[in-house]
Amino acid sequence: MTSTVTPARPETASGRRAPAAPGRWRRAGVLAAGAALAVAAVALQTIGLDQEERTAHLTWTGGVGEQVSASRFSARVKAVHVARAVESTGPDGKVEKATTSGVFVIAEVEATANREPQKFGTPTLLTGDGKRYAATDKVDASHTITNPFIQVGWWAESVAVFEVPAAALPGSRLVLAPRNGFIGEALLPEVEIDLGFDEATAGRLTSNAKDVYQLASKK
Amino acid sequence: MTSPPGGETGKRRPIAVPVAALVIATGLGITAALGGFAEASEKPPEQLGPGSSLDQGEFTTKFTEARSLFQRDPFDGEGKRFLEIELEVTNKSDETTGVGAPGRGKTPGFMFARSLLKMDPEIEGDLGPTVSVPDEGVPSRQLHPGMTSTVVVRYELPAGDRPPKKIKLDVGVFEEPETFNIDLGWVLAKDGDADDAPPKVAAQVTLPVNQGGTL
Repeated sequence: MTSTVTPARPETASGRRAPAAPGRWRRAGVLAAGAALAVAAVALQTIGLDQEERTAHLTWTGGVGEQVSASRFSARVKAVHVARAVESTGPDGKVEKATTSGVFVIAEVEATANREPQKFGTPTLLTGDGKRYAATDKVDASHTITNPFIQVGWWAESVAVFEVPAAALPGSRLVLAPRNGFIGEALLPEVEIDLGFDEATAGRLTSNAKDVYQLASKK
Repeated sequence: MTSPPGGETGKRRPIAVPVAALVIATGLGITAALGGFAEASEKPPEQLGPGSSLDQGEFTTKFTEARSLFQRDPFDGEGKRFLEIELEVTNKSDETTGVGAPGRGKTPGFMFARSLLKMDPEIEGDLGPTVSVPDEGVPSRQLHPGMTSTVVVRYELPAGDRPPKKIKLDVGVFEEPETFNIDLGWVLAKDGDADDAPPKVAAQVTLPVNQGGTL
């Protein structure tokens, strides 16, 4: 076995013209390959996902009253209210009245799941000027859409409550996405529902804003 | 006749090099004496008083007042004393953030209140201060973009301690560093370029403590 292999080597070596040249060429080739790999590795860094891309969602969009179906759930905004204060029962059963220097936006939301039960993460209000408002913490989470399990087969109803400066209302969209686990899942589905505020409706809703919006304590 | 210019140049040449060397050596010596080529802090911290505002990058903060409060305890003659610092904080960033908490010892602070770097005198106690937006019906811990909130930092004084006459706060500022590939968001500006450099003290706020309030 070995005898058949060993004679083959001298043949190939003698087949090439100079014994020194292949070594040099090979070294140059290896260096070039190494340099190319290093360049490629550095270049790859520039196409790495940044924070925004890593936490990005697949977005389905719609308007108020429409059923917006994402891959795992469907949601619908039934109505939108603007108020100067929100009254609700706190965790200790007392009625609490939350006020704000801006206005409260209350979106009545219902949602259903397509395959498995899930819960929503904190809703976000994305305003026309590109700012992200997290749902207010002045209303206990048990009153909002983050509390119920979104089940297959029926619609869970609740609200999402935000606190924004009145001037930020035009162009606002409500963003709902399932709660992300400890190990973040990439490209979660989300729905982005345009609340239909243009300058005129926003102004009208703000000037006609209710003094107090009462959140139903129990359904 | 031709010798003087030649002699002069001959004299000048040996002098030029040692003089230059001496100037460079002196320059280096002075530089070294002043702390070398390390980045010197550009300017001393701004000195602020009650009612003044500071641009913290992510926020604009007005230092309204400091006050001491006494809470009578019907069951225990001692009662409790608190020190409160009231701030008006405007979130200038693009998203909702929280009031957070100042750092304590090795525990780093987070969000807005991590910019309250140090208070003099330090208040001893097991727990740090509570930080909240207390006066809008329901206490909140959020700071929404474009909105100004009254934030109150409340320390409970250890039993028997008198509240200080005045306090001095070291306050930092936030910046959004541009990094290669990673977005860090808003971080505290550091004093120098080193990775472990302490946060930069942008302003020192001295507030007299208004005494005698009750809870």
